[in-house]
Amino acid sequence: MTGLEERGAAGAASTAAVGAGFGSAATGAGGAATAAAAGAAPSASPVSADVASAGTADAVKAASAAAAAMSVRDALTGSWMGTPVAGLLRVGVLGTLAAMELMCALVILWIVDDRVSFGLNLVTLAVLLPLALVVGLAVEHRRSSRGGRFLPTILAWVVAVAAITTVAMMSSLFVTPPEGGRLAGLLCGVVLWGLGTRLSLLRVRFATVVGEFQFGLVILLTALFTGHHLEASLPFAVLVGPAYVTLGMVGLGLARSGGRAGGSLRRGSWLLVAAGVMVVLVLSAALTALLTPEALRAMGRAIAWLWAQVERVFAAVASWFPDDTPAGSEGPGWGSPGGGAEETVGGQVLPESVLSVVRAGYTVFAVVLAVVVVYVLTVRVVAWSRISRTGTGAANVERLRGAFASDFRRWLTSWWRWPKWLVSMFRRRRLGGDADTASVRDVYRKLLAWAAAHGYRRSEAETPFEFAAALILAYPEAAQGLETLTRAYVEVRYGSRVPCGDEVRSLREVWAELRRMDLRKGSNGGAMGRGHGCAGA
Amino acid sequence: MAERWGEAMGARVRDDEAWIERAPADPCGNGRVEQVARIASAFLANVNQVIVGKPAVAELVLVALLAEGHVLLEDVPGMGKTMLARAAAASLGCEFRRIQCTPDLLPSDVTGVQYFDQRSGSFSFRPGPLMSNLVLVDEINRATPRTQSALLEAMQERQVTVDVETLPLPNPFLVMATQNPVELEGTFPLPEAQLDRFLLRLRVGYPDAEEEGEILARYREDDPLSGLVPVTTAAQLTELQGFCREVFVSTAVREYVVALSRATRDHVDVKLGASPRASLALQRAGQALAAVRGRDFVLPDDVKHVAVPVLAHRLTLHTEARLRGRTAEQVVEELLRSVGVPVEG
Repeated sequence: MTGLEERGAAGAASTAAVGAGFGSAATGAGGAATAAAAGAAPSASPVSADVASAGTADAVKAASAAAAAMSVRDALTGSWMGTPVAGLLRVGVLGTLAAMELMCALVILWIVDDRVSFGLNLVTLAVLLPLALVVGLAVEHRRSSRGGRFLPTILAWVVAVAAITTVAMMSSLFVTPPEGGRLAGLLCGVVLWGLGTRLSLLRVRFATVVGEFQFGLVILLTALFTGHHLEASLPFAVLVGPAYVTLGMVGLGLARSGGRAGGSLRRGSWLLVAAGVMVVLVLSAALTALLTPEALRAMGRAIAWLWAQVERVFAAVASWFPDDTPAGSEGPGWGSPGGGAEETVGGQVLPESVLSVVRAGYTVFAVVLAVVVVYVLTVRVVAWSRISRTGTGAANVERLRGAFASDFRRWLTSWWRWPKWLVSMFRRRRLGGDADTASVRDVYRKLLAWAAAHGYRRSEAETPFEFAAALILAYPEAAQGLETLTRAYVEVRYGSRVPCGDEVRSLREVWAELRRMDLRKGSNGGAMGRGHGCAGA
Repeated sequence: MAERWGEAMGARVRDDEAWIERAPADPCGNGRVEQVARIASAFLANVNQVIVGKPAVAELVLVALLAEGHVLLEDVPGMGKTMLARAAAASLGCEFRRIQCTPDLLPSDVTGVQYFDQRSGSFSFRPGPLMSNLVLVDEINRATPRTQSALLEAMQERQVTVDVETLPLPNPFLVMATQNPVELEGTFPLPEAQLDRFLLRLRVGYPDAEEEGEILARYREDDPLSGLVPVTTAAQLTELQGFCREVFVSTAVREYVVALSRATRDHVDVKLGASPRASLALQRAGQALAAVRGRDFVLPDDVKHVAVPVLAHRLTLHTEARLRGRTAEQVVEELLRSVGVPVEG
């Protein structure tokens, strides 16, 4: 999707999260910065030259002045809420994007269902996209603020599978779906859930919202034109267009208000939107010509055929169990609803309840497999399009097919890193002195997590000393402890110095003391706001 | 999301493997880095007597010296570029020569010339001003490309070729070239190949009101330059340069340097990014800065501090970017805010 920017993932492909104004503003400060900084922070504990040079008085002023402007923009482009206003803006923009995409999706589903009659329950399906957005935002906020990675992700997967399966079942709760209807409902649910999750990962920028608006407009107009072309009943068509454009303008306005321009109109941006709309109209007409009734019917037949294959697989599995059903008896069969309280398989009598559990298990397995495949494909396609569009950090951008193959191989091999990591953990323990090094790392990690929990998350481009300088501004009374921990870490991390046991014990005490302190934000803490883009560290 | 698990695990394993490397104990040996820091401190104090309020610039000049690089000072007239070079030379106890570039300056005026000595009946070599430890090349963009090329060989190879004879230049050897960014009529802008040979490009900048008042007070009667005492010797400086080469650069910092350089090549506004020579320059400058600050290992902060002076003049921007008012400094600063620093977690 054009304009999509997926957050985080280390690499150079991720677009900029604005780092602390400190470090960059202080880049040229040099040695005299030491004197200036020492004079600028008389009330704080003596700050070393390295930390001071990373955050001079001038840099502080510049950073504070820029932070207010940055916080909103960075909260929009980051994964967490930042200030309440920034959080509301982010939710507002994502909400309008979700509404736009949902509108497109429902129009398409309405037309398809009108012509192919899958029996889709659009009301229940419509719940999935916003639910996925909320779950995605909650998971990312939890990950970014608490530093935990795995439990929220697992829970998100569980919620996704449960929601999609529930919706698919509910769509056939009161009526028997036609052939292929259940599978169609599942696939639609998966796609809608994917759209919602994708939105939660979105970095919200004006250009992003423009791209989403334009792309969605292509889809929507294509769907409307196709619906008219197929003579599908679209009683709401007159309302959809204006509603979509209104939502788009709201989203663009919200995104614009969060940027540095503060909502002022830039001619170039609006010309971009206008030009995009013209292109959209042309593209929609071209796509409409391709989507004929025959094409849609063929699509419906393909889905029905696919479901038939799934039923054949189930039947093939059932054939593993010897069938001793007496001749002439009408067995209920694998796919048909209960023909009795029990079923005979291989001479054994299996109660219906057991068979139901087995059927449900196979269904869940198939659904999870389909979800994983669709999700991984989506991630790969999106990541490839992002890399090829931004072009940062990618030495060579492969064609999509090749990129997918190599990415998929890399994803498979990435699971091999688990045992390697376990081995390295064990090996590190055996090396004796390295256990102290690991302890220093652990303490610093805890410091980072503690800072993140207090709203001060280190951005990717921030060095430890720059980060320490920012924290000291917020918590001047913790200056000594923060500097000690940071200095110990950089000596181990970049100087590869092996600390001794006493030093590690001393560090742990400093860390414990830091946590016990009743820290309150300094005079610049509020102004800093730390509305940095929290691209996944 | 499963992808993130894999990536996180992969990053964690790579991180762990990097921890296995170990710096040699005291890489510079017996507190030599403290010696570097001590001399650096004295040098800065010396230069600060002459150049008011620009310790960062003086520090970077020293970094270039210790990293065996050359400096391009680009600023409007009257900023103290020449004074800075003279103060540096006086502080280092090195031989100092000055070349004032004009359009009629010949290569032989710079490198030296073979002349026929009638008394001995043979050709003798008269060394030019380039045969010196510290050479100030004033307004280098006023020299013709031919003369600029003569400087190229000297700066890169640290030797000069006069007729058929190749002569090594003294050690240490530093070229400080100045350039006026205004009044470009009749000048010969330095081509990319020459710009790439300068380790740093610095701008002195205007002093603030207080500093300007201090300048007036200091220069009211005496010339502070005349009272400067050398803080080191040429031989000792050569030794210090060797110490700086031994400053430890961890794999993480090295990867950061590479990432920065590569990022310049992929930036949308950059037509020609940093070369591997730039990466090397960035590393060497980082080592020198770490030594100046009394450390025997390089921090990412050191790399960030020298990134703009080292990289900006090596980038060629697209015409559209330049017309939009973008500068190479802005591009590098943007990259410094975006390229990830290797840190825990």
